Amino acid sequence: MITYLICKCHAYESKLLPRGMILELASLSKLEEFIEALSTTVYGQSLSEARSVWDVETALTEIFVDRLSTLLRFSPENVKEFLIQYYRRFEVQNLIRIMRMKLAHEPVETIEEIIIPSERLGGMDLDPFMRARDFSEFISLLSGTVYKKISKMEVENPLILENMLRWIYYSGVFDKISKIPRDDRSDVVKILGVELDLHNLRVWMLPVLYGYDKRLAESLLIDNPAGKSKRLLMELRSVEDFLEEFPRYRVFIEALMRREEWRAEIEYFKILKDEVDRRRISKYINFFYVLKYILDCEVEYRNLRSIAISIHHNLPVDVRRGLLILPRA
Amino acid sequence: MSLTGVRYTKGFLLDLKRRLEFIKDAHDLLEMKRDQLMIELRKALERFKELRRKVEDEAEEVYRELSLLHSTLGSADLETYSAYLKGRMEVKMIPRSVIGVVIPMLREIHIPDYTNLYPPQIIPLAEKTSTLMKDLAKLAELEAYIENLAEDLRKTNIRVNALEKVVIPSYEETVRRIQGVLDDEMLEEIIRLKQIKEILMRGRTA
Repeated sequence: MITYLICKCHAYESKLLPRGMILELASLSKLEEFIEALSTTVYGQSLSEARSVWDVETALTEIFVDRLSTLLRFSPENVKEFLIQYYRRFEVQNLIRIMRMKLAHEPVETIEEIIIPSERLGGMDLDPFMRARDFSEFISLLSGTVYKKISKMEVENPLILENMLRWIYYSGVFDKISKIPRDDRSDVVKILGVELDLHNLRVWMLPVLYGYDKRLAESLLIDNPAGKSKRLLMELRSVEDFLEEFPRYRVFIEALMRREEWRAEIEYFKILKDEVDRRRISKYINFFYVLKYILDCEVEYRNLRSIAISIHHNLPVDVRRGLLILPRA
Repeated sequence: MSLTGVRYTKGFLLDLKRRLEFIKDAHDLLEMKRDQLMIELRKALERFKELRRKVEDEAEEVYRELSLLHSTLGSADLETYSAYLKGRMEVKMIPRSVIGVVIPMLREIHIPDYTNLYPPQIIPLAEKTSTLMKDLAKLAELEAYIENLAEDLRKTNIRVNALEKVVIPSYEETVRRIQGVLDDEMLEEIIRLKQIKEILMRGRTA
């Protein structure tokens, strides 16, 4: 029953690390201290064996995927169908990584190290893709999947292929929206719309900021049924136009203008988090809480990963804290 | 040091003086070269200091950008971004001569193009790294230039010193010695002639 799933999410939400602890972790100076500080939490067991920042990343990914896969166990069939499609974003992320590695002729062992276990999230078996002899075989393997459109395309630029994967993903999610309760659909659609708005905005700013070909940027835009249309976006010519059209995303646009892509990445998640947090849900039992929990899990995963890596790079504490995705005060 | 095969003749003295003149000219030229090399070296060192500071700042900026991107995106994404790059960085060099010193000169630095190829997240890092690599190549060129200049300056200095402290003094000493011997011989000749003249005069009066 969906009520059970939502109640579970409310319960799990309380197990996420509090803001204070995240800030405290960000002020630690050694990776060992970071692992020690997390030893009493849900991360303790997985991190106990970790010796390097790469081990920490792997352990954090494991916990993150565990959390998401647990939700599938409690989901009724129709919601499960939606969640599997929603989780395909990690499968797409994996396929993009494999594609890049195939282009670089990297061995299977190297590819295996960077893959998120998306099969546990209902995704397809990626082993044949990882073992593909080369890039062409990788593309031909896509013909038997939901991404079959890509195998028929004759595109040279891999950015377009990456985008096609994302486009197919979002089309799939919008198609499956009917699987969740009617009352909750608009909220979920709005969040997906914000995601696509931010993606399209970033892509459409490429020619302005980095001199990318406009036609390429045009082909990288994804149809957004819940936000600004491609046609409307393509009418925007300057940074002023962007700021005027998207006042809510000002911080994100300003980060892009300053060419601080890393900050834009953080702002992307902050905007999503703000958007999810500020939505006033009329009922306690609402599917939107499941989506909120998934996003909160991802935010925690990204925050912990960011802390571990910034400790590894010995970044100053104030910079580390600036890298965290925390709700705006 | 003394010269070998010295002959105490006027012809040899004239030849020796000519050679000494030539050596002094060569010494002056080498001294001029040394001064010029010093000026060049000083200028190159100034440029090197400036460029090195710039490269250090750029390297720091690249590392900062890389750390921030790594922290934000994670290792896996960052590792895969470079896969789209076609080609490698290539540097073409040709030898060039500056005041007789052969130095390597960068003719062309080819950095693979990433425009229209990279996902947006990585472009600023790619731009910064690209500038750093270009400046690093220029720094290496300048370093090689300074090394070659310094080596040539060292050799020139040794030559100037050798001419100044050993060759020229020994030539001058030999010239002085031959001149002395020839002067003595001439004096002897005059005295001898005087004595003959006296003997002849005495014979006439007797």
